Amino acid sequence: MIEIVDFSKFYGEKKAVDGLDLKIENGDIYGFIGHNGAGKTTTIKAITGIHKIEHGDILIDGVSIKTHPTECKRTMAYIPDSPDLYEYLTARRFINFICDVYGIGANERKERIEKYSALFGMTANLDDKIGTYSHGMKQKAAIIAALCHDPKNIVMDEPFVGLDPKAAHTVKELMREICAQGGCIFFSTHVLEVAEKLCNKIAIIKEGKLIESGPIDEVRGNSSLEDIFLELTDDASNGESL
Amino acid sequence: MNAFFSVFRVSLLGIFKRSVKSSRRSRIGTGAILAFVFVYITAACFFAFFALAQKLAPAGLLFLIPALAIVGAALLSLVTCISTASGNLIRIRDGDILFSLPISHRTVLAAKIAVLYVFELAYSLMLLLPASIAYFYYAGAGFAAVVGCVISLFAAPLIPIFIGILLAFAGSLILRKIKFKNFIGIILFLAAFTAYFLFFSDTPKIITGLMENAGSIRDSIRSYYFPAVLYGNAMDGNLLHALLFMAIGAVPIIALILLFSGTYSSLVSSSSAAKSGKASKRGGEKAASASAPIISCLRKEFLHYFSSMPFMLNTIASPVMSVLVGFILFGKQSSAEAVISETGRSLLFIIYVFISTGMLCMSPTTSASISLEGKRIRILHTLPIDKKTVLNAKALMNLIICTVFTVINGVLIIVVGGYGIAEAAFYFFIAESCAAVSSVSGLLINLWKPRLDFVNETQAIKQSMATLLAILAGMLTAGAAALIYFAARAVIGVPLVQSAIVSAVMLLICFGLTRVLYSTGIKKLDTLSI
Repeated sequence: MIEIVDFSKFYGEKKAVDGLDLKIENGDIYGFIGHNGAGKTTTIKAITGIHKIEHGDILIDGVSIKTHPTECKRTMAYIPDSPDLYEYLTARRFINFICDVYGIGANERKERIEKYSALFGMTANLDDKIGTYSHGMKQKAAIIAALCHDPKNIVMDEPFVGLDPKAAHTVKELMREICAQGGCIFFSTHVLEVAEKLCNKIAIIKEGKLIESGPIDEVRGNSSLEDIFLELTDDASNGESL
Repeated sequence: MNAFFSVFRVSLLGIFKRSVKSSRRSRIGTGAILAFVFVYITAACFFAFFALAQKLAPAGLLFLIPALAIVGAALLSLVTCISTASGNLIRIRDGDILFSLPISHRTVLAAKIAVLYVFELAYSLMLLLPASIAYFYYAGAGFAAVVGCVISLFAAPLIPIFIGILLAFAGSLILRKIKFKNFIGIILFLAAFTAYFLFFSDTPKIITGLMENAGSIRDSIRSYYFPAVLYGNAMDGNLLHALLFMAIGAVPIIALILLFSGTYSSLVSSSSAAKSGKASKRGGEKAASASAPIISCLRKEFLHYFSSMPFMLNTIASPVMSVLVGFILFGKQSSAEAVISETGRSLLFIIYVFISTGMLCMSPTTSASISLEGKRIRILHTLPIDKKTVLNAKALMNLIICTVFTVINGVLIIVVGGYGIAEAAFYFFIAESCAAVSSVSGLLINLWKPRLDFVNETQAIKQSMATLLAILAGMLTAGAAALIYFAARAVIGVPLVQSAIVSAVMLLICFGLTRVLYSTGIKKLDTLSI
């Protein structure tokens, strides 16, 4: 479970996220949508401990990431939007590095590396350097590395960008599987159709402020998510310009 | 501990792995060249310390050897640490990966500092190892002295690293909001560099000064760098002092790691945020003005050059040194004018011409300019621009920078050296033609040994094989020019004609290299990707 409590983030004078409150419960696949620069990546980076939390708090399974970052991260995986991995390492070495950090035993990691690389069609490329990969392959390597330590909570920033349809389908299946086992997923996306089909809950953010959140059926009512998103975000901007 | 070693190993690999596509053979070659450089510098220090010890031993002043060596090593480590700490600790690109992992920021910081320590240890060993051997040769060494020496060698970089990191952190905090921070940094560096260069420019005077003022030098070292005393005693077999020397270096670093780990991620993120903010501001400038592709490419090269402190520092130091050499040589000449013959005067001039030319050619910007494209190389591939234009802009930037220094040196020849315009022109033609060769050869070398997958720019600039090879190529270019000059002098007696011959040959070489650049080089550039 991930709980964001009154979280705000400033970049100098600019408020990137403004008093955000959100609760991602176990079993949730929670979509996070908003315009470019709305504050999605900033929020995700705060959840994953990349950004220091100056205002508010973020709790992972009830534990504050502010005060217990290592414990929180141990149950969590982060898949970034641009997989800026160690290009000079092979994917296998990179995954081993992540497994070393999470303290995964040799047999377990071998089994998981085999399982996930087969699922993503990466078995033959595991010993190639990441620098030689395409964007999609790097994304797959990042996903395999993230899944190898069997995380309970997963935070993803635009996870489907660059993935081929089969890999995207595999990721969706894995997301459902993790949630069925009691984990939770929080991910940002611009693909509203994916959010609509995959998520049970959704949050819409604009200029750092949460403008709508909750179960997807409640948020969209009888309309499509696209209509609701455009209506909400346009309303907000029209209101401001007026 | 496991996490510490994992991060340490990965970070160290990032520095040593030259290229994503490098073969085993190329890695062995890289290792061999690095080993050669290490052995070469260590050997040079070895002879210098032996010569010094030979003079000091009979006067009973041998204690100055460890004292001077540790102070020298501390200064060297401090300077290199300040210049690399920011790139290796703050402006890191793997911050997002590392900070999202269940490792404490303290572990990340400790691992990054450990990587820094490995490099600083290598630098200080190049100085301290030869000094220790020279000292033991004359003073004798027991078992305790050797053990004390080994402990001290490993402890030597710790204090400079501590101070260097503090200064680098403070610098990045202070300079974060200053507009012309690169210029301030460069001016400070050049001032320190000039002072260092001028101080060490007169070796016999230094040795005499050392011998005459041994007592006061020892007292000064004791009062300004107290650990030097512990180091000196450790070299005499005092193991307690060796351990104390280790402790007073290690404890502040541990304290620093504990204190700074809380704000470490903020420092890293604010550094990357500042970077992106700067880029977007620059992008907005003069957005409306249209220029020819070559001008546009040249502007892009210069904007990158002036925005990257490591790039500027690494390429401007040796041209600045060419000016300093002029001041020293011509200064000495004017003080000895009464005794120096006309032949001596012209010989001094020729020496200056080729030393200065060598320095101008040693660090061309082109040796890193392809590598610095990094991932952005795809932009060059997708733009509807002739690759010749791209390469010409890169070569032209180096030539423009060299021309600035060639002109300064020309003025120096006339004003300080007291030579005529003919001599200045003689120098100008040779230096410019050699600079043209080094501009093109730098590009070819960088195309041959690119480092596009750098984690921070310092790796592409300071720690790349291309930079190392370009230094050798620059020295070779000046050496070849000198050989051509002496050959021409044997046949023709008119200096300006000799200069013209050297320039013509160098320009011919440049023409040949440019042909290679336009054919093979462009093909190679087309294949570069990441």
